[in-house]
Amino acid sequence: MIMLCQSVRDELTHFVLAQLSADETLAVARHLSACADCVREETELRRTTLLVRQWQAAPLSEAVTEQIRSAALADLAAAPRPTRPRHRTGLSWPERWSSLLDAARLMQRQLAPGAFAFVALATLFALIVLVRDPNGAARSGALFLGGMWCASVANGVLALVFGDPGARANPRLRVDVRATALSAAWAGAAVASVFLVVGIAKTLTGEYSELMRLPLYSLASFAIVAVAVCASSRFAAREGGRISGALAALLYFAFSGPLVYIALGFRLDGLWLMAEACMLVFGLLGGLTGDALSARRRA
Amino acid sequence: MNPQLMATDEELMDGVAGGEALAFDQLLERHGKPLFNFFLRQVGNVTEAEDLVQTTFVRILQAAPSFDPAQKFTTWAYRIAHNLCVDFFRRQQHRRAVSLDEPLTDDESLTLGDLMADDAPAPGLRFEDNQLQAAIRRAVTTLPVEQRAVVVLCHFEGRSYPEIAETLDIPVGTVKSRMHNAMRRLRDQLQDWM
Repeated sequence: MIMLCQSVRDELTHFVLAQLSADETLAVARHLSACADCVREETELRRTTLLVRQWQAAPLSEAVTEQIRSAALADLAAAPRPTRPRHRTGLSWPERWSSLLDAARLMQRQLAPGAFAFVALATLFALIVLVRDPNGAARSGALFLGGMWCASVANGVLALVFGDPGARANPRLRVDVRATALSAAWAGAAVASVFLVVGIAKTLTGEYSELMRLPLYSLASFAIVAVAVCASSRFAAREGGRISGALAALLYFAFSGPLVYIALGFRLDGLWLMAEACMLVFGLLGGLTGDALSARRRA
Repeated sequence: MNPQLMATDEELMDGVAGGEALAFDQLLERHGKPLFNFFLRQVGNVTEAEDLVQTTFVRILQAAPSFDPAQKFTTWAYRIAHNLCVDFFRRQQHRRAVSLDEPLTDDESLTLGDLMADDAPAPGLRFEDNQLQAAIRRAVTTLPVEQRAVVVLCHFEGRSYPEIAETLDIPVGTVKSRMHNAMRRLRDQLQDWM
């Protein structure tokens, strides 16, 4: 009992200051419910804490604040500050590679519901293509959409592994590179999913061969890209305005272009190139609109 | 609304590194008073605390380009402040100056520190409150220096043990033992007020 009391008293200060773990807190509380001596000690420590915390904060005089301010202004005006590096190397290369698995896990958690939905849609699409499109007119389309979605996931993993937390494209704009790349990955995945759903609908109605040729339909598709990027930028603005929509669009197409090209079997198709170029233009328009709206919100 | 008002401390440091005076101003606005009180509660003297807070902001400004935004600004800034405090006490030891806590009266109710400190209470403050403030100040500022930092960070800055350990660069176990000893000393010192 004496030993138990002693060990409890060693923890009483931390118990009063709420610095113990849940288990430790419970153990001390149980002991206190049956030991009057320890309760007395605990009460004294609690009173001491309350007393000490009554020490009022003193104001920092305006004269001192002004002195600090003017000294800082003079310092900032006298010497131009060195620009921060565009890419802060916070992680070593072995650390980056070892974080690959963590990034994959995180992406899996973030994109898992979307991935399941995509696999279900892609399976349905493949079945429909096999049944209704034996000549394979829609197969390259299915491959393109699958490549686009995988490229988005790859973008996200690249952003998480190689993007340093806190890396800034521009210190004044405070554009977070990693968050922007991740946002671009999300926008790409969303767009690919929308295309897939439309692809299924078009294949079921037998119009798939005309999918990318109809100017109105193409315009609507590109508008989806613009809205997706604009929305991601607006969402970021609500969270503190740290993501640039325009940069997100550029990053997405910088990564997804080559990856889709590989997915298409290194085949350069004039139609797809035109589609990529149009999506880039519309993505940039959406991103710039999102940035302008964010800037207005900040102002 | 001014975007600086919404920015985090770490984002403001980014701005300071880029030469933004407004970002520095915002940091000063947010942390000037808490840092001043951090010093005041340890050195017990307004003039010294003001000097130390000025030096802290000079250091913050100088070190801004090398500040890593991945770390927490407050932990970083208070580590600078704590190191300045340690230097201050080391200098004091060398000077062997007259202790501010040396009693000037027989009943030990008045010290040199009480006379020098010009953080006078508001005119409306009652006499007992004034006495209580002096008693708490005496109790805290007579703690050993290393215990004082832990007490100030925990009680007045609301830091958890792991945060204090990170700021002072000591193990959590050391934080616990320092706090345990400090609280017992404070309890004995403030016995008359309980």
